[in-house]
Amino acid sequence: MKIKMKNSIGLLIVFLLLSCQHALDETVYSSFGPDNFFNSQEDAESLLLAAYAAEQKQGTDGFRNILVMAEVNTDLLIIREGGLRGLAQPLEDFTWNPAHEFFATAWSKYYNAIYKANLVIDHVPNIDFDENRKNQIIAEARFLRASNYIYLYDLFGSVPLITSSEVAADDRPSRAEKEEFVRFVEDELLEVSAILPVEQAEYGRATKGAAWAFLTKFHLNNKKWDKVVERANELIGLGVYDLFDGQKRTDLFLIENEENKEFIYVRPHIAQPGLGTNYLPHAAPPNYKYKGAAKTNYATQLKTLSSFLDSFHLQDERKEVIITSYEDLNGNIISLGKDDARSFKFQEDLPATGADLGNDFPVVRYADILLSKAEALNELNGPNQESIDLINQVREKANVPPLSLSSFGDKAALRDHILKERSWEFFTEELRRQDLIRHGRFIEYAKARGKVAFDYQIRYPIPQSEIDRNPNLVQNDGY
Amino acid sequence: MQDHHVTFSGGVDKLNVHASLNYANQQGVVLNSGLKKYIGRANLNYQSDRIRFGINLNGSSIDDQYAPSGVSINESAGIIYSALFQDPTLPIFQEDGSYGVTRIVNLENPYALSQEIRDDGKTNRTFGNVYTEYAILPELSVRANVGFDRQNARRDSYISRLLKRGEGTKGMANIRSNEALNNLLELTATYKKQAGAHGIEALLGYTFQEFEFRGLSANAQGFPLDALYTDNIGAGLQPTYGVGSERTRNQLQSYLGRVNYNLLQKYLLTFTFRADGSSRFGESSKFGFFPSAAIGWHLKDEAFLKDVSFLSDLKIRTSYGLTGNQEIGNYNSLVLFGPSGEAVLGGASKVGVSAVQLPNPNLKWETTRQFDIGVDFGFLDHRITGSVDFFHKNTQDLLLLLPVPRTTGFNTTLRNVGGVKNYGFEFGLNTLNIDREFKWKSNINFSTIRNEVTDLGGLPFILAGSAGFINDFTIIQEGQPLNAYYGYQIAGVFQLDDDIENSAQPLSRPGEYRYKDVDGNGRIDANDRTILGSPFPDFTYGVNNDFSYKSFGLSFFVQGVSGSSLFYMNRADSENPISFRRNRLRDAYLDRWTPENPTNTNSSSVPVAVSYASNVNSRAVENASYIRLKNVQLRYQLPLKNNAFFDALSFHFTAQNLFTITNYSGSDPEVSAFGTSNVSADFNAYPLTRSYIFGINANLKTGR
Repeated sequence: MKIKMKNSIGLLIVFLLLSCQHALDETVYSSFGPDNFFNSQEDAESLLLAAYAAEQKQGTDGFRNILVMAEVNTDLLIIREGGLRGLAQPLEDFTWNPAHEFFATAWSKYYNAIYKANLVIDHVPNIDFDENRKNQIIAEARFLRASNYIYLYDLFGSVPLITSSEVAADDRPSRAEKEEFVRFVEDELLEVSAILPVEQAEYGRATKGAAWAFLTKFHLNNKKWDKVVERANELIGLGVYDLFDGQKRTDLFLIENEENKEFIYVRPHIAQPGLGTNYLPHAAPPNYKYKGAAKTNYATQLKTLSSFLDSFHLQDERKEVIITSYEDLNGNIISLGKDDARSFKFQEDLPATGADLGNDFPVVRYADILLSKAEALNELNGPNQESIDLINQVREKANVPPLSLSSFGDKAALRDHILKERSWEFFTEELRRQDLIRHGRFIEYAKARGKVAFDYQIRYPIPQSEIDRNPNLVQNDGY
Repeated sequence: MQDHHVTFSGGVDKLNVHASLNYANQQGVVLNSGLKKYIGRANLNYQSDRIRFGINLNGSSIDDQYAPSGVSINESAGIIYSALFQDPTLPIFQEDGSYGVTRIVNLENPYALSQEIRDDGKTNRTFGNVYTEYAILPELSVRANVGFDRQNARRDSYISRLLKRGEGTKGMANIRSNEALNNLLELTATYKKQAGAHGIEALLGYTFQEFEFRGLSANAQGFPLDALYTDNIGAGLQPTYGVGSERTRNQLQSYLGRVNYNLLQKYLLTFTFRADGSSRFGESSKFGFFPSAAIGWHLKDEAFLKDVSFLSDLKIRTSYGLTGNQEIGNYNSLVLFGPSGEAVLGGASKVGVSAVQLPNPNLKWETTRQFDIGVDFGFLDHRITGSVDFFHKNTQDLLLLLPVPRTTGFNTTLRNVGGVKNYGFEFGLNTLNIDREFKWKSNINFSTIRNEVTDLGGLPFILAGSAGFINDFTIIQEGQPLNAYYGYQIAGVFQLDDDIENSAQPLSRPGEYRYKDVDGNGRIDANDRTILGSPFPDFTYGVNNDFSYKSFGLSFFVQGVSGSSLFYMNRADSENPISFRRNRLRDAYLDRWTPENPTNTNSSSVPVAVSYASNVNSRAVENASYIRLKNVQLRYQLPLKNNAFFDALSFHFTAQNLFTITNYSGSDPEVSAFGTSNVSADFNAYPLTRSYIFGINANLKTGR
């Protein structure tokens, strides 16, 4: 017994000495470390995919917050019932404050995507693989970074420019000067447009056209009219894009017609948990009987304002996706009353279940480029035949009678029409707020709807929680 | 609730055996929740002159049924939240027998929740140790101990199609399975010597402990029928399949030494030293060094007190020492890349890889320096005994999840930040008040505590706390208690004839809350947030009295807390609901402001015109002081003399949590929704159970 005991103690001591050396090294199993990661083209592609994933921002917060922030404070939409209402109400009523959670959510999502793009931009140059693809990957990442800065700029105005993935907890960046910010985004998009291919093998990736389209829209919202025309001309001249050529204008948004020539850049969705759009479950009225597989129907109700619905031309096909009655689960036909119609622009993905539908969301489409050019030409030259022709190209597809130049006495008259035309063409596409702001109507229309609105509200406030973390951020005026 | 124990002890010669079995079955307060435990234990010890050897084995199996609870909101909310906020007129069942559902409130029918979510867990655990001790010399012995702990757990949950969440998805199944291992090696050598008046005991040791965790999960939606539950997860729709797995490991390594010295058993000295290493910290700061020293002096044994007859014991002791904390997650110091979102490209999902955290390579031990001084005393032949202690703890390099500017791409990072101190008195007294056939004993304890953040490493403040619809409700700020509640002070309610236009809230309407303009700048904004209360009590106390007469006994225990505040998040939600269709807490709603009831206490409950403040306000931070009758027990010991079967047989009846006196309006002033986190708040608290227990203790005669 004694001997055995001594042996076992001896064994233990040997074990102890062996285990001492690296006893406290951390073994990582479920993640990669930097040492075994930045090696191959595949690693570079994976880094880029993470940046895409963040930029595409699928899922609940993605759709919901952006649409609400872009439309519930306009002449298109109100939101009633459900949990979303409490968050949407201050936006609808122009009573939001810097603590509203949508601002913090948007801020952190966009900056997270920017960080992920910066990782690609910083690290991929050091990985050894095909130079062509390498340059393209970096260009795609720079495109994604620029697009996120545009989304931020749309909400908050100029924000801190973070262009490196070397970040630290002690960073307290200040907001960039507006000119510096705008120039950065313009230069980036212009530079990458020279590298990005006209067509990508995989639908959803950044292309030359996407970069030009973003640039066109960025110039438009910054009212750089001549640059809008220049960029739009290049895009049109590319010959890749066209208006959708289908039976009906609204078929453009059917799932089977995705990957068409009109969608220049999309937020792609597929009917899988967390990767779809939950727009329809929010818009569907109570007990709505889905045509395909059973789906979620949220308590929240996205309702189209009657004043908007009534503004359409009688023949306008585009309003046909706004439903005014429906069949409920019990087979009854329910009529939707005043301010209760529903935009079903993104029509039902029949086999999808749950709240994730596969409808792609167009971030920029060709019709927008045509109408942007028409708007810029009017701003530059006043009413002109080219603007009218551009608008008529879109109207023709919607089966509404063409406009004639003679109906527009001055620049303001055509400008007003373009704003209307854009509402008919782009409702439910998250563009209305920026269109109204550009036209100087955002606050005016709110007041007309009975809201107590102030001029400073054309910008949302920098999220309070971000200012709490970074005192170097100066809040937007008025807040 | 049922609880049964059977114990067996015995031995032959140098061998000792002990075994026990325990079965407990507890039904929850919420429908369909409960816990079943089976625990078995066996100890075997061998002792000879120079050798001791032993094996301890424990096995347990726990089945639990979990009622949906927790801090989720809306359709994902638990039973308590749904029951609080669901439309109170919603019937449990409709006329056709199906569950009552509403399409305009995004909450489940709480009864349906209790029936239509299956959430069952099973945990099997085996742990034990083997040790051997060998005396090389009479004074010197060495000991080796190897311990292990294996835990296998599996949790199955199924959400049926009769719930909103399961309706669109046609059932959701989720299976999680994990395995936790923990191995321990302890090697120690002890030297013990008494030489005349000097006694010395010294110990040297080395310990190593490793923890490993492996998890696997699978989920699916879209089942042909609910009846399969999680038992055929492949029957779900393929595009909805999800799988996951993880594996982590961490280690602790320590070198330790201790010396106890005593002179005449009167003067006691202890020094200890530990070098503790944790794999969780940065490359160069894995080890922390934690020495301590203690002095004790038995005053009663001194000549000048020997003859003081009323004094039966008196001892003074003081100590100073360092301790460390490493209770953080693994890998926080490392740059890690992992799966980070799925991109949809070319019509398919593609997993991206990115940095998953903002690492802190300098992460190190959180260190507490504690000073104690105390007196133990006894009077009147130990009929009165007690102690008084003063403690002062100074914690440096707090391990905090620090919110960082989100322009970094991240939300938080783990950091060693600043310091916090805790100090107070602890007082304990045990008395034997009456000692005849009728006995009366009392135990009293009383303690005070002050908590203060002493340093924040240059940061002005850190906001923390987040759940449901409410964020940043606590503040960490120098000079204040850690995670004090932080929000808006309500000054009253705007009345019809108030000059609202010229107030600090020009767009408010009569019946809305008027907030205190803390910074006096004439408008209510984020700068008017202020400290609303401290989660730390001023003092806590407990009194236990025990009476016995012949075979009967009666005891009751009263516990109290004074001066703490608790953020009642459900009140905050209820008074500023996300949807006006949600149910409200009764007190504020029935006495709400109306032109006819111009109260200055409760608002009109109408959604505000402009939200000047957040929901974190002085109404929802409530005084959580309480006095509770925690335990009452009546005992009866059967007078047995030479009974053939029993050595002893006794019965007891125990009642727990009989009543609580408090002004706190939630269900329990003692709860926190965040478990062990240093932020506390009451959110969907599980109601406190009042229980009545009847018990029998029987000692069976053995054949010895």
